[in-house]
Amino acid sequence: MLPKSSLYRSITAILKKDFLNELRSYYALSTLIMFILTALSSLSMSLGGITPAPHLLAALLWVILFFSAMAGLSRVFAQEADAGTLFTLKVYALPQAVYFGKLIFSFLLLAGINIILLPLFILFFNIDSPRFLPLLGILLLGSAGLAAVSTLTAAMSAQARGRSSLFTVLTFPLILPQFLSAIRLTGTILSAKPPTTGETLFLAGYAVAAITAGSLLFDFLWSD
Amino acid sequence: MSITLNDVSKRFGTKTLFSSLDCTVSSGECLVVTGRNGSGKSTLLKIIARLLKPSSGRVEIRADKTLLRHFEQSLPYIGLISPELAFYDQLTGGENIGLLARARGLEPVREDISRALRAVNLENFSNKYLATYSTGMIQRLRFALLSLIDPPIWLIDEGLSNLDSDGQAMVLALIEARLKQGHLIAMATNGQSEVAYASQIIALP
Amino acid sequence: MPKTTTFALLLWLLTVTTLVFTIVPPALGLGYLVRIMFFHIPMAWVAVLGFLLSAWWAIRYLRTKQMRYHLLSSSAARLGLIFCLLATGSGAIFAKLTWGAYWNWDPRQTTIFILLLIYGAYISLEASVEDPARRANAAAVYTLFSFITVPFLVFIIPRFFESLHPEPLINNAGKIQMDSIMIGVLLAALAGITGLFLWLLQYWMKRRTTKVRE
Repeated sequence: MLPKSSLYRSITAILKKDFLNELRSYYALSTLIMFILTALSSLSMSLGGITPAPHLLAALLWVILFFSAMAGLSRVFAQEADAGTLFTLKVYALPQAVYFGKLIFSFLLLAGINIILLPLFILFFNIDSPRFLPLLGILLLGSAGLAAVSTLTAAMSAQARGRSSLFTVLTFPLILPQFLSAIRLTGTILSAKPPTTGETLFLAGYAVAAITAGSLLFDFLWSD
Repeated sequence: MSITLNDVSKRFGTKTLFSSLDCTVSSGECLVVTGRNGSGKSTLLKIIARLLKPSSGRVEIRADKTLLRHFEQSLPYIGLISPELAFYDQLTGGENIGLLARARGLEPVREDISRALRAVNLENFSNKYLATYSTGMIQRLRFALLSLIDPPIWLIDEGLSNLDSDGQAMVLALIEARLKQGHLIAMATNGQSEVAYASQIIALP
Repeated sequence: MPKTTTFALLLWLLTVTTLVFTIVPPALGLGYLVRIMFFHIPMAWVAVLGFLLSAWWAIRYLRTKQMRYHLLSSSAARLGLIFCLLATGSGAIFAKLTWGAYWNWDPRQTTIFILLLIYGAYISLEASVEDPARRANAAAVYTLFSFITVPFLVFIIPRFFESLHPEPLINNAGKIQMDSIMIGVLLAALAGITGLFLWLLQYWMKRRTTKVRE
């Protein structure tokens, strides 16, 4: 049967596979949750229950998120490389389907991290009137850009030496603009001030640019 | 469908695997690549699949006289299996081939998957995780994958490896049937039983 | 590269250095410290040039898949890193001597530091991927992606930090506050350091390509 290639079908297949994988080997998920908990609690502990100033809080939140992401996201390609299935995907999946499938999966993983992290963060640092929804919104917007970049850098580092540290080293400079902007915006929200449209657009614009650039460049990474 | 190798050669650093390969294979024909281990049989198949680039020369793949220039264009027409092709351990046999078919943009229903597994005597293992499969079963699953996707071009690297005599007979019957249906098949092997189907042979030094 | 060009370059650089230490008058408020600027600014410029060239050759490589373009891109990046380190260092020294602090994260220091991070990440990437084709692909993709983040960086950094940098020597109205002698020497220094960069690039390329063919 000659295929009527459907990119959508291909993407969802890869997405579903990664989900099933994650669910069936739950040890990886639980390690990630423990990582978040450890990072959060150690920081809160060392601050002795004092609630830091809004901008410091914002910086802490994003640093924890970034390192949790670095702990969790390299797996999207690292697992494939280790299991030998990278080759299988190269033969049977379209490159763009792999990129978007992995990107969406990374984003959903990050969203999961955010949903766990944010309430705990508010709890541990005793934040009054935290304005949960705007904060979650910024976290998700930032996560979109991060997912786009990390999919690319995960693919680069999956078959390299010193994989996990390389992944972090590669990702950080690329998401820096978005990182700085997100911290600023989060600090604003935590100071009980309304977020500026300009900065929110910046975050959104970065996410769009990152996803587009990633999509254009991924094919070059994927083919040998 | 047709595949034309035009002065194809492959070098890795200073070592030349093969050079100046020319041939044309069309639908219903079978190309067999022979040679000792390390002679480049698998590499040649990968070059045909466009997974690797030749050091010089071109691989032309045509569907109904239209030249399929890029990897994304020719990919839907090709299925490649080799000992290197791994499946996902945390998925079942049925889920694995279903996933890869969908990754190709197809929409296999449960009956299609059952039929593909039945063709290789794996129907009873459809719901067993890959981790429980023996090497012989994995090899048969690879053929189930090809049957399910059923692309016009089958590239088979060491198709009979890890199979007992029943398995080998089944695979050969499958190949023979597909050739009659007009598929284009290229195999990398040293086995005499496969060479018997060849309309052309490339013997790598 | 013919010996005459090399000699000419050397002569040029020696002349510029001599001029910096003799002719250039002390700048308003900065005194003789301004001399560091004649090294710092050209080096910062070349650090950026290295990035631009690296990105350009990365595109050429991805289009043509010729290793030569990758080697050019990679060599430009490595040289860029060296000049970036020099620029960061000289900038820090200047900052210490003028404002008493080596580092204060003002927009320019931040920008050059981020460039340093990008270069460093690039070098790590090249060192970690073993397969040559994969390495070239990954390196080119990384260069181009980092290039795309630059407009965003340029936008966000000034807004993120207060600037401690001295008022730009070329101000908004286009009036140049530098003494005309200073401008002349600065441009000469720029040309000289750019020449040095290009000379080093072709020298390095020659060494890299000869080794590969063996």
